[in-house]
Amino acid sequence: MKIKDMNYEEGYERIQELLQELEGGELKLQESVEKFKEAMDIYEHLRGLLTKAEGEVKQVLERDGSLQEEDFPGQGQEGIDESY
Amino acid sequence: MKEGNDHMRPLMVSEVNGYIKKLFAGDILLTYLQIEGEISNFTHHYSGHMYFSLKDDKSRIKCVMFKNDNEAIDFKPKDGMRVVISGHVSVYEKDGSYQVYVRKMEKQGLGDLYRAFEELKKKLAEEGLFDQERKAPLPRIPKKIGVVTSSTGAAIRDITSILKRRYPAVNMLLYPALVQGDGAPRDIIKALKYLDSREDIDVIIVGRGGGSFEELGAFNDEALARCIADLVTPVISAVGHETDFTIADFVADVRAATPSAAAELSVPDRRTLLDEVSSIGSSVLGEMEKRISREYDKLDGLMKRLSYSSPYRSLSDKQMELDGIFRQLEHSMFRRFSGYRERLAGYDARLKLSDPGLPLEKGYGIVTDPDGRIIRSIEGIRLKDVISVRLKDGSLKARVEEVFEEAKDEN
Repeated sequence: MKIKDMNYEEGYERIQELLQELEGGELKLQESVEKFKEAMDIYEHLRGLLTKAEGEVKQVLERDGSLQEEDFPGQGQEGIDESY
Repeated sequence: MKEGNDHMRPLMVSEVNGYIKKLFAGDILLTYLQIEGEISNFTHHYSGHMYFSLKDDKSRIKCVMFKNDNEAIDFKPKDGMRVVISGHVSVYEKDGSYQVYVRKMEKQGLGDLYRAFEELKKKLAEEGLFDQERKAPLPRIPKKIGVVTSSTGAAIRDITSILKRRYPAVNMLLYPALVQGDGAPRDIIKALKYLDSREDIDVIIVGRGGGSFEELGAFNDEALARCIADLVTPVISAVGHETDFTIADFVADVRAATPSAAAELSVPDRRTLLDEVSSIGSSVLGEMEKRISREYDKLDGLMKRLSYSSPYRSLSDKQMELDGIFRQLEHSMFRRFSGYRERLAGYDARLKLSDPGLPLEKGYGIVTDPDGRIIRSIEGIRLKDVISVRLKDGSLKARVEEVFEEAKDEN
């Protein structure tokens, strides 16, 4: 799996595996550097996921008898009815 | 003018009040009764006891409800509210006043609607629709959250703003639905079924903001309750306020007190995850440092043992490998763990210093840049650059005054 496609849980699990291998002490130095680099790349990716990524906010609308997804106009929209 | 009982001694006030109290206590009606009326002058004393009057259009009666008893009330009593209380009437001797000692309080006036609610609740409970074993666990980190509510209500606004704050990476798909009125249950059911049929929805929030018992009626609909029970996707109900309970709440996998609370339950707080990931990142870093330090010690030991024979060739292989690795680490790594690069540079410099091919004792020096990297060539050196020179007993900082290029005649 490519790092950029990992979700948080997948990434975290992979770092845990890598950490265990590093702790195992059976890797050659060059191998441990590779594992280390991979762990750090995932680390960066997860941080990005938590600090930069913005999920999409959409709504399902019925148009001409079929369902379509459109962006949901988020904050500041007109006509908020406080009673709901 | 003398009355028949004037031979009696005058009574003390407390005796009269005590006597009346006994009369009350002996009365079968006053020892347990239900009274309906409207709350007025309500105060919730800091001691936890509640004091108020109950009134109708002709009269009022004082009431007290002690902390132990009022803790069981599942709504917030306030002035103007119509309630049915039960308890007993007794005399408060100190004031010579009587009052109702309330044991139970219920909202009144909902009549048929409320009874229907209670009956449906009982029926579905008996069928096992509310059983804990039926409840699906929520995913820890959903990728996409389905929401069923009004697209113009406060509920969707609260939900989106909380998701954005807590875990902005999550996707949300709203299926707008009517949340009150006759068409509402059918509308909500259609939305729930659609979202449940999609593969990409990990959890569904269904609900609306607060309202009266009648306004929340759609969420007490039997067909809706059965639909929620049948959904495969975990469902969080989020109807009204803290104190509102609907059938949908009982049948959902998780009941949230409000739409905001539902949003909070549906995703983790990213700050917690940031802590978690920082912590494991540090562990990985620490492991790598330990490893490098071990390699250094090994190399150092080898060098000590071999420094009087002729280790130069075999050691320099090892040294080159480590050099390469330091470069890789420096290139790949990362701004976040501050001080890491410095520590790395420190190891590098120690390694270089331990090289027996550079006999400091004989008066050679090692020249490094401010980052601790060894300078082997005049290439890249500019006037006024600051360099460090390591000698056998210490080091010095120097500034480059002049650079001379040598004729290339050495091997």
